[in-house]
Amino acid sequence: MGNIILPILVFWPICASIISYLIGRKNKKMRDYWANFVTIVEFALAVSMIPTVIAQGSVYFTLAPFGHERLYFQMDGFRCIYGVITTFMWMCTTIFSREYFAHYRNRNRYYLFMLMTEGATVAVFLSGDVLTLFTFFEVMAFTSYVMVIHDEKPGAQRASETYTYLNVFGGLVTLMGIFLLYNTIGTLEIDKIKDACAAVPDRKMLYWAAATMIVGFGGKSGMFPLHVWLPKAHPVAPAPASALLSGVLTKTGVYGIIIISCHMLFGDWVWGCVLLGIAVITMFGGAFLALFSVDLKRTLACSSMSQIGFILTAISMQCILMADPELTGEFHFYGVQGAILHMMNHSLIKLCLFMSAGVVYMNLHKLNLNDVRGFGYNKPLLKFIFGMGVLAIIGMPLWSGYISKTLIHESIVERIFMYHDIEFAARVFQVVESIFTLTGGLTTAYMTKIYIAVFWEKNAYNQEKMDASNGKYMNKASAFVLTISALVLPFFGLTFYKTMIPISEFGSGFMYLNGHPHVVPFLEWACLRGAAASLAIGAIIYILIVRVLLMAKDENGKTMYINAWPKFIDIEDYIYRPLVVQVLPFIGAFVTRTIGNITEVIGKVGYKAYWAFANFYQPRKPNAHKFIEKSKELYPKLKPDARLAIEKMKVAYQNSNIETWDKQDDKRTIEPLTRVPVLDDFEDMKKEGYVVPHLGGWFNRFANNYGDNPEEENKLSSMLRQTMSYGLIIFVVGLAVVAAYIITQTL
Amino acid sequence: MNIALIIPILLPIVAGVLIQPLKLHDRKTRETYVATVVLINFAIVVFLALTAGSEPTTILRLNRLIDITFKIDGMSKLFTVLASFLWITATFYSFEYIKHEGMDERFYTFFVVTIGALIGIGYAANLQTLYLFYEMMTLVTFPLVMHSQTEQSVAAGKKYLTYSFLGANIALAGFFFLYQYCDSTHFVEGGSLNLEKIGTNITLVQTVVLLTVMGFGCKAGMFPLHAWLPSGHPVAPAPASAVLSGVITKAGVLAIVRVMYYMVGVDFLRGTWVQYVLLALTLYTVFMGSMLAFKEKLFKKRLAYSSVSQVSYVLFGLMTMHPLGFVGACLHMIAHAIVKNILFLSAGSVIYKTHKTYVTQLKGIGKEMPITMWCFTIASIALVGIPPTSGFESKWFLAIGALQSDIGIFKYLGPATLLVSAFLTAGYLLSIMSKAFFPGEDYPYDTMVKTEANAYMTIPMIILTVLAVGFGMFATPLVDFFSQIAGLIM
Repeated sequence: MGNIILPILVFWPICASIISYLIGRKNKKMRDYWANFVTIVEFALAVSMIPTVIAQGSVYFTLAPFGHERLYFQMDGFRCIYGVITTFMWMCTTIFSREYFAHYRNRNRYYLFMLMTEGATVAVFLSGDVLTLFTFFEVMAFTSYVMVIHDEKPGAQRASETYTYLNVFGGLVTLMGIFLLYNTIGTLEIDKIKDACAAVPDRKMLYWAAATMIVGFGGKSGMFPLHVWLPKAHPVAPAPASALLSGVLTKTGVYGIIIISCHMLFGDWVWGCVLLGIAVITMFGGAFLALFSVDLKRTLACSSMSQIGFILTAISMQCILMADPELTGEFHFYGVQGAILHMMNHSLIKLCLFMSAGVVYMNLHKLNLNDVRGFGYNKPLLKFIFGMGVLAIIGMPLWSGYISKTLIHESIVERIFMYHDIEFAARVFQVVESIFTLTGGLTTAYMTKIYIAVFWEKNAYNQEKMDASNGKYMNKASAFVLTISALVLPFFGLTFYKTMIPISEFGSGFMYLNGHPHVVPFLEWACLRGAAASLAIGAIIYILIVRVLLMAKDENGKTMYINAWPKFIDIEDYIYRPLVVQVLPFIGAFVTRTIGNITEVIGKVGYKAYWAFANFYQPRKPNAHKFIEKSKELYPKLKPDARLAIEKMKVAYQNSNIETWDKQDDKRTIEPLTRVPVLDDFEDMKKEGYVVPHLGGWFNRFANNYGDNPEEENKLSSMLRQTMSYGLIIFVVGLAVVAAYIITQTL
Repeated sequence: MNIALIIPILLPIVAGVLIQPLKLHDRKTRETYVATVVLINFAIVVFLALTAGSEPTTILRLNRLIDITFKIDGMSKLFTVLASFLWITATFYSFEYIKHEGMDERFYTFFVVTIGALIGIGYAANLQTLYLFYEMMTLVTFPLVMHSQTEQSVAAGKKYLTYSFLGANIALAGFFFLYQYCDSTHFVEGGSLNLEKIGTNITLVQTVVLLTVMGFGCKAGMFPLHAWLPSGHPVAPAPASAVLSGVITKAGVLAIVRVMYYMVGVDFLRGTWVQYVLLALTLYTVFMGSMLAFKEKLFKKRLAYSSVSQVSYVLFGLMTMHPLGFVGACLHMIAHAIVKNILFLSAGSVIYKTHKTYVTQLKGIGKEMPITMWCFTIASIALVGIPPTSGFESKWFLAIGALQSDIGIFKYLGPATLLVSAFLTAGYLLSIMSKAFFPGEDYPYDTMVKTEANAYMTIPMIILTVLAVGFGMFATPLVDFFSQIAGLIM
């Protein structure tokens, strides 16, 4: 047991989701209010936990028995921050959903799964052991699937297919990692993992565990090369869902990666370097993809991937900074604070941006930049809201993004200074630093691109249509939450010493912050320099690449955005899908089917051999012609009542066939039986040395009783006969062995 | 001596045989009669499981070698309670379903007799008794397989009979060898193999054990005698295929447990080549079943292939010869029995209501039959092994058991294969779910007709679905119970 609020935080939305479904069947409006109420209560509950956590440091709740062990929830500083952010985002998007979904079908389904996902996501962040984490991670994966596919357009179906298979695949590989971890250290309680892992002499198993566990968590967070679902699923999901997917669900993956990097492999140099490599590719790749995108939400989705790369860079840098034996991890705090703050910032920024994009989509039902161009030209409020998001994400000083990006940047710079005497290592980190700055520039460029396209430029063809909805493009409730989500960003950015830095210190216990953080001079040139470089590079890229290479004149001479990204560079379509859908199943099925058929073949050969053997001893059968002639000859000699009986039987046997075998010619003939021989005939024929075909008997009667098609009957009866005889032979062999054995024993 | 043990065996057999002579032509009377029999039988089985002691009861002694003896131990309790419970759900389901097939009386006769035979297998205290009821089970389920009397089903029945007899006879021959070297013909916890009697014949005994297990493995769908299963299960009427896949395959598993853990003893096998061969066979079967299910388009056949794979999860757990693996095997026995029942019953409902038999035809079926497909979806998730369902708990123990046992490369290969198979399971089951519930925006909602099956069909499925999830959430009592058994036999 423990603090009762923790399970309430988890199970309140899950229970409320079912109530919401039931309400929704009766009254749609009530359902919407109920969902708002649920998320507001949830947010209030999460906020109410802050004083408790500050006072007690960490609170727990154990629900046992559950599964084979228990559910274990824990709330410390970091989890508290993420609990509050998650519930805040859910509250905002739910309030926004009411307007966004007004004309959608299957809304009840959406609300059911949306609320369930909230419970599961909160549970992931509150999990105190890896098994609880994994349980809710999987629940979340399945419930969020419904949010992705909600539109049911072909694109959504395909994207959600990718999403769910990546989830299942990642989940299973992660499970393998959890097996290995549990097998190595014998505990899964997150608080105990660090010490238990440090005591393991053989690191090999831990590396294996980490490498497998990161597949699921990395897949969820959008880490390269498992990012493929992200740029496809976020654009097609409804906007409130994309905000949650991008802002919160990716962070559950990051949460898992933190457990790997800060608990299992705390201060592990090798792990830090590997993760840094992946992080840099993710960071740069996402930004690069975003630059080429001409779809509003796709740009934001790629941007999410890139920002996750920033967060992963921070996490890997804290590993690397901690691993240095000389400096005893003095600069560890850069990585820790950078990771926590950038996670938080990214969630809030994406909330603002995706909801604004949702407003665009809600009005136009289009997302292509050329189609939505000029939508915000005459809409000052939306222009302001989106602008806040843009300024925050590009790391403009005095907005929230600047603080976290600077911390991450400083972590790399510190590492370069620490290694100034080792040429090669310093070089490597210098490269990392320049990619970091370049990615910052790309971020500036692609955000400027969409901001200018939607809010500064006029639509080339139909600006009246764009302006038609001015003043009524969103209702008051939506406008309210959007404004809140936008104002949060400069608020944090302006008051960072009072807000962001204490928040990051509050959460740093989860990442085992080493020592005390230094005071970073954020507003001095040393720090501003990085941001300035990024912004300058961004401006150059925008002017030289976006305006020149990524825009072209169409047939009417108007300048349009063009999709210059080559189609064939798509690892999902050209590597993963063919591999998983065609190549591997083909090989697998071919091999297994071939081997699996071995017994079948042996069985068939055996069966044939048995019949060949049986036929070998079969007596001579009559020639069909002779048999029929003989019958005709006998027929007139019969008594009248016998003839009547035969006529009746004839009807029953009309289509019956008779199969005969001429042994001399080795020829089988099948002929229709035109008349039915009776017993007297058979007796005669038997005397003449013929073997008489057998027509009566139990099997024929069985077949006749249960069928109406004589042809079928005949087939059935012969099959049955064969079956029984083959089965019985084997059975009899068994019995004979038994008998023989009993005899030998009793003698 | 507890003569009450034969009641749950004889009651269904007699009651089933009496269905024809009593001329229960009226549907209501017949259904009441059948329902009463299975319910009373379940009550007796549960009562015996709770109260009966573990002393053996000899009913009949033919000679000093062959006697019919019953006894209740942990495995008996597990198997009989599971079987008789699932029989209730399948029976109630069949009241509606069998309208579609016809020949009710014949169906119920064999259906009711089968549960008697199964309880006999569960209570058997020696291999002779087990073998008797094992063959009886084969013979009485044979008419269930070819109930529809199409050419296909008769051919499948033929195959079923052939493979079953072949497997059982191999196993029986194995018994004759084993008897020479065991101290007792009865099942003894930990086995009664006498190493002195074996002397230098170790390889012979090992081979015999391997063949015996493979023989009984036929019923459990283990490679190489698995081929009857994918053709036999799909052609039977849905309630029959549900219990064939869910329960009858477990009779094979129980027989293997009896041979390995109660006659031979795993200490004799652990670390030998027999263990490795069996591990390889089971893992291969796990992979093969999933792979072929993934490629299969016929709905019920896909489920049958899935059974091939899933029952081998159980066998893999047994072959690890580790207490945790054993616990996982027992858990998976329950999980798979329940889940496969749901899957076959929901497939049956779909066929009964819409006559759709291919998975490609199931687009939008979730809108038409929401309850059925919800049960199907939750069961699929359980079969994939997503927490917190029962499938996850069993997989957890299977994998941890494998990792902690000393089986060389299989230590890692085992869990990895289970997870690959789970991924394929997701591929072949969840794709049905996504088509069923998310037919696309062009789905004709206006012309859609709700064709949900009636309460006879849905209530059994709902009850089973609750259990499939419930056993995962509250697995602790089961884990304790199975650990107890594992402690006795290892």
